[in-house]
Amino acid sequence: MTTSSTTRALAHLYRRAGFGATPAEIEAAEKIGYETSADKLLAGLSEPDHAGSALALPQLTPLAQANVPGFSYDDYQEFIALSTWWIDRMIVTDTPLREKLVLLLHEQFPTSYQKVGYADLMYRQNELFRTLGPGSFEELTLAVAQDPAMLIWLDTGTDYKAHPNENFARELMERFTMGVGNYTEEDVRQSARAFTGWTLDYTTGNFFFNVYDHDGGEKRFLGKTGRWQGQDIINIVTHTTASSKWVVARLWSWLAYPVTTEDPVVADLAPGYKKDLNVTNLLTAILHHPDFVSTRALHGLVKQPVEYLVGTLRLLGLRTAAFSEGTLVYLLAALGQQLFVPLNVGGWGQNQYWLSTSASNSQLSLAWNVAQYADLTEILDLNGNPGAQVDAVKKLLAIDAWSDRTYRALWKTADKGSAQELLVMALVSPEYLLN
Amino acid sequence: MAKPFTRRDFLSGSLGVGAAGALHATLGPVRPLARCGPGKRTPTATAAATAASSSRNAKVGRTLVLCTLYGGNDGLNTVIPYDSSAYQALRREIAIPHDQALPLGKAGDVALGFHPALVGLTSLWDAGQIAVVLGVGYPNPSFSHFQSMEIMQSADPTGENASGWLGRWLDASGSDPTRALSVGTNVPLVFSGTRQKASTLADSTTPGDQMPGGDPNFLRAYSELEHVYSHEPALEADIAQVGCNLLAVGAKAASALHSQKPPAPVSQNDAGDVGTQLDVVAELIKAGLPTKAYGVMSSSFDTHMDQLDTQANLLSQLDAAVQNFMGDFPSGSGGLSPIILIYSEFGRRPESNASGGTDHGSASNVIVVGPSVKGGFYGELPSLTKLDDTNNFRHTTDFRRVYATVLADIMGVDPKSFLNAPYAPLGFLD
Repeated sequence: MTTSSTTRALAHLYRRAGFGATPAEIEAAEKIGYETSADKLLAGLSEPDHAGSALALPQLTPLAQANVPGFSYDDYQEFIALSTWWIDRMIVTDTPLREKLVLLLHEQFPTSYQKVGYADLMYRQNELFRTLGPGSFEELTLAVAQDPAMLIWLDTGTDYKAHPNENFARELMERFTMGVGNYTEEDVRQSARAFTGWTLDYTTGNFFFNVYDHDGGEKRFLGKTGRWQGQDIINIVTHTTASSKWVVARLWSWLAYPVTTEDPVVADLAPGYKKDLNVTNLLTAILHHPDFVSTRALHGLVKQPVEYLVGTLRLLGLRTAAFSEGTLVYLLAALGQQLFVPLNVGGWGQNQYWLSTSASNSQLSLAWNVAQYADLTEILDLNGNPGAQVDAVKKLLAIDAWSDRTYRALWKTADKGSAQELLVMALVSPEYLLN
Repeated sequence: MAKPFTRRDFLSGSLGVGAAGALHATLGPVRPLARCGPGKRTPTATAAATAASSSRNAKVGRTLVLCTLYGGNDGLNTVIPYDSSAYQALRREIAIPHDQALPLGKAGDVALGFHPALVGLTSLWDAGQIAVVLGVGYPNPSFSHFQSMEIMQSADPTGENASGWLGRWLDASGSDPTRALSVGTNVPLVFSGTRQKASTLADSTTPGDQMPGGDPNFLRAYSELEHVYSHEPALEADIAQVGCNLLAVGAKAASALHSQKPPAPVSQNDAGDVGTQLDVVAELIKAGLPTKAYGVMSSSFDTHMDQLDTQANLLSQLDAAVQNFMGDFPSGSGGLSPIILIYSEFGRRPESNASGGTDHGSASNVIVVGPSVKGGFYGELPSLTKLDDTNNFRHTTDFRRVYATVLADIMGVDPKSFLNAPYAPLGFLD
C-alpha cells in the first residue's frame, strides 16, 4: 500500500470497526500499520474499557422494585438518561470495536423500550451484548432469549402449553439466527412448543422456567426429533449452515458493504465461523479480509445516524453534556434511529434506507446543533483564506479528499459565510455522510 | 406495560428541548431554491405541471393516500362476522361480542360489522363512502412480517421484484420529486422504483420543519453541494439527489402548510401519530400540490398478546384520523377527491392463542375511503371453517386487483405495465 492508501484504509478501519478516529489517532496508527491496528481493535473485544466503565450509570429502577404496589418513578426520565449514557460510552470508549459490536447486536436482536417499558431492562440487555457479544453466538443467543427485555418484547413470557404463542420462535429463526426460507411453518409451531414455560418472574426480575407450563412432549424440528426444550432449539438453529451464512452476511453488511447470504464473501467466511460460532474470530477474519478494504467497501456504506452522531462528537471533541437534556435523543429520533427504540423486530435498514428528503433535513438540523458547540479556532484563524479553511475542515473531519463539487460549495461557504456554516456544510457533504 | 410515548412526543416538543422548529426560528427567514448546482437540469414549475399531467387519463382531483398498518392488523376483528358461531368459537375470549360490533350489512349471507372503535368509519360507510374488499391476499402466504410486506408493496408474490408497485409508476412518469410524498423518515418499498423514489415529509404541520433554514448564501451553497455530476459513485450521487429534492419539496410543503389549516377535529378521540400525518397530507392536497400519491402509516399491530386493548386503541386513532381528514373533503368539494386505502402485510390467525392474542395469518380485508368511492363490500368473505393446511384463511381476492383499480381509476394508467400481467379492476371507484 502507498502511504496515502494506508491512511485511507486506516481511517476506514476506525470508522467501520469503531466510531472513527481523529487525525492524531490516525497518525499514531500509521506508525504500526493496518494489520497491527486491526489487531489492536480486535484485542479490545476482551480488554477492559477503562474510560467506558468509569462513566456514571444513571439511576435505573430495577423491575422488582418498579412493581412494588404504590411505588412510582419516572421511567421516561430514566430512558433519556440511559440513552445519553450509551451515546457517551460510544464516544469515550477505549474499546471501540466492542462498543460497535454492542450497537450491531442491538440491530441483530432489535428490542424496543416502547413495549418493554423499563429502562433498567434495556440496560441489562445492553450489558449482555457487551459481556457475551464477543464470545459464542450460541451462548449469546441463549442469554438473549432468556433476557427479561426480550421475554417481554416477543411475548415469550406469556407462553403456555395450550395454544403456544409463536412470536419468539418465529423471529428467533427469521431475524436472529437463520433468515427466512430456511424453515417451515411446522418448524415454527414445533419450536414454539419448546419455549413454553419460559417466563419472566416480575418479583425477582429474572428468567424463570415454569415446568408446569412447559410442553415436554416430543417435537420434530429441522428434521431432528426429541423432547426439545428452548435451549435445544437454540443449539440446533445456531449450528445450521443457514445460520452461519446469516450471521456472517449480517456482520459483513454492517462493517463492509451490504451482501446477501449467497455472496462469495459469505461463502468464503461462513465455514470458518461455523467451526466455533465465535464472534471475535469472525470479526478477526472480516477485518483482515482483502475485500474489507476494497473500493467497493470504501464506498459501500452510508453512515447510520448513530454512527454519524457519535463519530462527529468524537471528531469535534464533544461529549453529551454539551447538549441540553434529551436533545441528542430527539435528533436521533428525527433521523429515524432512536437507540433502544427500533420500529420493530426487523431493526433498521442500510444505505438507501437512510436516504430521504426529510432525513436530509434532519441531518442539517443535527449538523447545526452540533456545530454550535464546536471549537472553530483553527478555521477562524484562517479567516480571509477560504481555500485554507476548506483544507482545515477536511483535516478536522478526517476526510480523505473533497470532490470538486463539494470543494466549490465549501469554498463559497467559507468565502461568504461563517466558520460555523462552513462546518455545517462539510458535515452534510456526500463525502462525510458516507461511512 | 406499553409506554404511551411516541415519536410525536419528540415532535410536539414534550421533551422540553429545542426541537427543529425552534432551531429554524433562530436561523432567520427561509428562501426556497429549486436548482441544485450550476447548469443542472432541475425540475421547474413548468416541468412539474407537465409531469403531473403526463398521464393524460389521470383522474382530475383524485389523489391516493396509502395508509400502511405495520405489524399485521387483525382483519377478522376489524370487519367482524359477529353472528357467526364459528367466529365466536375461534376467537373465544377475544371475540368481539355480537352486540358490540357496528353492523354494516351482509356480504353473501354473513352479517359483518366494524370493530366497535370504528365509529367514524361506520358513519362514512353509512354515507356510502367506504369500500371493504374482502379476502385480499396472494398465493402461498408468507408469515414473515418483512417478506409479506415486501410482497404486498412490490405486488410480486415471488418476492423477486425489488421495486414497489408505485415505485414503478414513479419510474415511468417523469422526474418531479413531488409526484409521491411519504410522511416519515424512510421511503417505504412501495414508493421505491429502480431509478426513482418518493420524497418524504416530516410528520409535522409546522412549515419550518419541512425545509432547511439558513441564510440565502448558505442555501445557495447547499444547492451546489447537492449537484449530482456524472460518473460519481452511486451512493454519493444518491445522497446529493435527495438533498437536491429536499430543496424543491421542502419549499413547496412549507408554503402549503403556511397557507392551509389542518382539518378541524370531527372525532372526539385522539388521532395519534397517523392523525398528524393525515393533517399534513390534507393541507398539502388543499394547497393544490401536483402530488398523485401520499403515504402515511401506523404501526404496532403485531398483537400476539393482550390484543383487545392494543387493537382497540390503534383502531380508535386510525378512525379519528380518517374521520377528521375526510371532514375536509366532503363529497365533490372543490373537485378534490382523496382516496385513503388502508392495508396491512397480513391478517392474523383465525384461532387465537393462549396469550389473549393472535399469531401471524394470511388474507385480510382492505378498506378504501373517499367521496369518489362506491360504498359496499367487494370480493368474497373467506370461509371460517374451510381453512388452509396452516389453519389460515384462503384468499379470495388477488391483491393486485386492488392495485389495478388504483392505477386505472386514480393514476389513469394501464395497470398491466406496472403489475406484470392484467388484473381485473374491482370497480370500487366511480
